[in-house]
Amino acid sequence: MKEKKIPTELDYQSAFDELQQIVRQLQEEVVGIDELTQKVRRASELQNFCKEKLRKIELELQKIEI
Amino acid sequence: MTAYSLFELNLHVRQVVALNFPDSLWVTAEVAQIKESRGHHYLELLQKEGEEVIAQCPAMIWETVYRQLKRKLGEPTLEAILQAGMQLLMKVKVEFHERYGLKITIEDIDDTYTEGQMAMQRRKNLLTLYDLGLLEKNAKLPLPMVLQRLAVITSERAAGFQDFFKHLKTNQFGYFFDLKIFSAAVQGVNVEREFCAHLETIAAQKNQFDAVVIIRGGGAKLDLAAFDSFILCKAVANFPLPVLVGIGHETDETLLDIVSHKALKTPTAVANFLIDRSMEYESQMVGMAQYISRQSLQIIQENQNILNLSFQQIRSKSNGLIQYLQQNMENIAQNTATYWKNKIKNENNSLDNLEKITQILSPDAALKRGFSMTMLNGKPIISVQNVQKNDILNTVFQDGSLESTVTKINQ
Repeated sequence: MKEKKIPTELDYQSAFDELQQIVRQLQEEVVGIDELTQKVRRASELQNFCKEKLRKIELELQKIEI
Repeated sequence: MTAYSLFELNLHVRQVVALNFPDSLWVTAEVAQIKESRGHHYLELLQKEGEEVIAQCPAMIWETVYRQLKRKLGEPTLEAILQAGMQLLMKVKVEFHERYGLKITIEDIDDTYTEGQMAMQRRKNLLTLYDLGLLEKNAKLPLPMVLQRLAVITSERAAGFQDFFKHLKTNQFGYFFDLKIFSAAVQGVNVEREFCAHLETIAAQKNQFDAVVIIRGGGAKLDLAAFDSFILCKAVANFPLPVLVGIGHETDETLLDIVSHKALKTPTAVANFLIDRSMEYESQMVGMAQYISRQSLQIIQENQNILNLSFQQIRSKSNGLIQYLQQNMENIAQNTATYWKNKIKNENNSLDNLEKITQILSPDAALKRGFSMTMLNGKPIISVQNVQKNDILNTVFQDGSLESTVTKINQ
């Protein structure tokens, strides 16, 4: 299976698109258990990314350092 | 020839003017400049034809008149119309002073004229923007799903901005908004210039922003004139980022509202829009993640069921097989046992026979049947040739032996 690289700087749109794609795959394709684990892990990553970035604590910290 | 002194001339002009302008009259003109000193307002009036100035004249509003006008029109409106660039319809007294020359004193202002002029100008601008295809240009830019990095053009002191800022910073979802403030006049003749300068600055670093927000608190209707500026509207329409507008007005739309990506009634409404957009994004993300989690559980369950079914089948099949094998084994075992039993029985029989034969063949048995064995010197005699006369022979019977001497040998 092709490994999906996690971009260092993910943006909202691509996170959204990727999650949507996983949903589509679960709806339309037969997903194997091994693959499923990866997908669920990725979904959780994406969700956390969006939650964190929306609240972007680290950005404020960076600003304080500067 | 009679020569007049300058004073005599000016005095004459003054009389001519006074005679010809006994009453006040209404005049239209554009304000070129305005200054205030000790409550009096000093204006420079002009009239243009195209870009050319065809008439120009100073005018003034006495402090008492200004106060009357303030009462009549309201301060915001008065301030809004007494600005460079505004078209005024004024009731003026025309006088000539021998030292100070032509003097126009403003006694009243008809603000509806200014409004009408602005409305006309606005309509003209609107048509031009339409002809240039600029009305929807900014609105056609894609709006990012989350608007987080915002360039805000506003007056930082304005109440509207404070509302906006507070609303964003204290949003109940804890969303973070990265605001960069570009402070500008939000009313008057400087709006156009300052806004356009900020827009240029922002455009130069457009990658750092998701959108531009233009915020202004409430104000008089005429205050909004600056946001009908053709140059400003054109700059916004052509701007490379979406421009969101909240310039605080209830009824009239400004041209800026029309050319913007999205116009909201108040600065707070803009803040709500931004927060809602983030919330909508997040809830969609969470919804999808939940779906994935639920769906994957279901897939796992299905797989589990299939596995269980397979196990069940394997178990029942293998049980059958084992039972069959066991049966078979028992049969085999039984058969084997019978075989060996018979074999052993046969062997035993053979052994018995052998024993019998052995018994039959044994010397004891022969002795019992009446045969005897004759020995010489402890060895059985098989032939008479081994015996000589007078040898002492030992004859063995079943119950004892006897000795005898050989007297005769028959050959």
